[in-house]
Amino acid sequence: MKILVVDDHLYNRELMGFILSDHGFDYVEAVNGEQACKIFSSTPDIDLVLMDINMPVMDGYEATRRIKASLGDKLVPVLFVTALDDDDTLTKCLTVGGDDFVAKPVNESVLLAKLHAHQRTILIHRQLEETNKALEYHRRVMDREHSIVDHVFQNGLKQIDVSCSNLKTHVSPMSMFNGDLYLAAPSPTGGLYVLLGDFTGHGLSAAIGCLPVSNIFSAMAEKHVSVGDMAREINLRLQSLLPSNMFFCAAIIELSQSGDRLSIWAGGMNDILVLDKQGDLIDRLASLHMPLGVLNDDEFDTEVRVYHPQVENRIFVYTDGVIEACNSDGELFGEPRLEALLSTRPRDNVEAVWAAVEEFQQGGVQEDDIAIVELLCSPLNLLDGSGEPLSAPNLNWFQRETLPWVLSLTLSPAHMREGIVIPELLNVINNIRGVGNHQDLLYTILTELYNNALEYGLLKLDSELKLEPEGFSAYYKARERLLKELDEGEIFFSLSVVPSEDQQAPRLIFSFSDTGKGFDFIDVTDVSDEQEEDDLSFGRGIDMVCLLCDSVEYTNQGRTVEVTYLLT
Amino acid sequence: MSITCIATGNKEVTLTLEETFDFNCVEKFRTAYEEIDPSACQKLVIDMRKTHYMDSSALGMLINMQKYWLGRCENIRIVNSNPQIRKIFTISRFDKKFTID
Repeated sequence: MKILVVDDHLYNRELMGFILSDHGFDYVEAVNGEQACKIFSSTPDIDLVLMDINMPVMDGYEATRRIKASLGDKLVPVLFVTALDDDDTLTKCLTVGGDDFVAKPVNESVLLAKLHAHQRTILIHRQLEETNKALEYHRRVMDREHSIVDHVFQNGLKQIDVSCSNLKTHVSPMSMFNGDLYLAAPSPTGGLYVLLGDFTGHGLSAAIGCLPVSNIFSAMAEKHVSVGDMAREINLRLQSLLPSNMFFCAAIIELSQSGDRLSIWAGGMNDILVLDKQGDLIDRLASLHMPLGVLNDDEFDTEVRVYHPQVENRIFVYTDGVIEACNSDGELFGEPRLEALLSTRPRDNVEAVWAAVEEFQQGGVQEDDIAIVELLCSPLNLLDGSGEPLSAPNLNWFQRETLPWVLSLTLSPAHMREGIVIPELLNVINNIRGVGNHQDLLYTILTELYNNALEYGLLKLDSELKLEPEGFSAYYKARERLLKELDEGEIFFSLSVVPSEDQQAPRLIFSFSDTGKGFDFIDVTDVSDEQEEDDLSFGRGIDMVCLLCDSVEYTNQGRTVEVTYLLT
Repeated sequence: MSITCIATGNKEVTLTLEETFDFNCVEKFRTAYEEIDPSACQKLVIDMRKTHYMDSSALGMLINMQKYWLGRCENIRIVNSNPQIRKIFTISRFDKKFTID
């Protein structure tokens, strides 16, 4: 420990110098306040100052004031060494920044005791400083990491931009990251998927599971899977991802486009409330399952509850944070309070519940994340983020460039037995630009034409067989048998793509020919007269093709059919 | 994957079809709807959420199913059909014979 001794009398400096060096302290000397300041600023390792008061050039008060001002957060105690002991002097010493006094004449043991006491304080102060520095460093690292993670979340949770007047929501995060998750996505048939869930805990550690859930949700909504299968997939992922003390309570709901069919998978959630048109509580739907992320895949239950709501029923779903909100007396908000509030039929249930919970826990702290969703069961009208109707991808076909492909194929009985003709053809055709939205209908057309060529042309099957349900099976059994035995005949397939010209849609021209006997094709392409035998289980194929295609033409005594399909 | 058949409450039974619903499914589909216990089924739902590909024999299978269930079950609904499949139902006037939504 290095000590600065400031005194204008040589005798005093020498006396203190002896005591200090006797006890192993290092020291430097100054003869007045001004010199003390100079030495102090050029000697950064001074730990403590012994200061006389009355000195020429600059006194001890002023020197102390300057030294203390230069210190910032650092602690260097200044001990006044003085013969004065009146209150005014002592007060002034402390006011200018002094820390303690040593009486003159200096008593060795008192001086040493004081030095040791201040040494302890210095040590504690230095440790505190180190700790603060470390804390500050960690805080900065964490801030930076949070902002990176926040960025990842903003992008990772980017929802399918869907809004719809049937849906009201409120989601409040306790911290930057939210352990409650609300997701919505349109289904391919104009329905709506909604997910509301709550990870155990809150903040970043709870929110981390939101990313995989949101990815699975949007991918599976696009594939139109049932909510039970969606739950299974999420469970499988979370089970492998989360530690065993963490899980995800969730309700996954699908509302049909018509608004009158709900499919619900709920695990570990509070009862889902059903309110009638007037706002009265008419039903409670309890969760049938364990929370997600708990069970193994082979124990998992995908059972879905199908609920047929009445017109304009509302489905009220909320997370634990609502009923577990706590007021300053430690009381919980609770289900009775929630249901009592809903029974007053507020104009907007979601806002009303949120406001009530907020008010209830006034003074207390919000302990959990809160999320509320209300879904109105009436026909859906989905809008995108900018308020435009959400519909099939826009069909501006004339902007799509297509190449003039020609594809041809000769199929022998061996190929036909493989059973992969249509899937293979479709695989190739799907790669032609602009075909994407049409593949389902093209499947139907290709299947009809190919099967006609095969079943009637080559296998000479009689569709009258299909008149009875038993015949239906018999027909396909015969098809299988005859195909196995087939040893001659061919089917020729060709496709030409005509790119768009003069604002006309691109066209696909398909043709199938077979080496069979042909048939009387005059009747089959005439679909103008009302079909009388509507109950027949067969005979729709060619009608369907005629209605789906721009043109259908039979030639070559019915052995060749050529159809044109517009990629509009 | 295969055709799945589950009770969905209130004496409703849901048959979920596969991605392709064509002549290869004739036996499977028939077995599926014939195995349903009529006393436990007042409403039959055909869920086509997975179905992308359908041919005319699929229409025949649905007609046969309707004939089989006629008088045993008060209502048969086809749900979750995609727009392309719905187009096929519409042009084949199936929307007059089944409840499709």
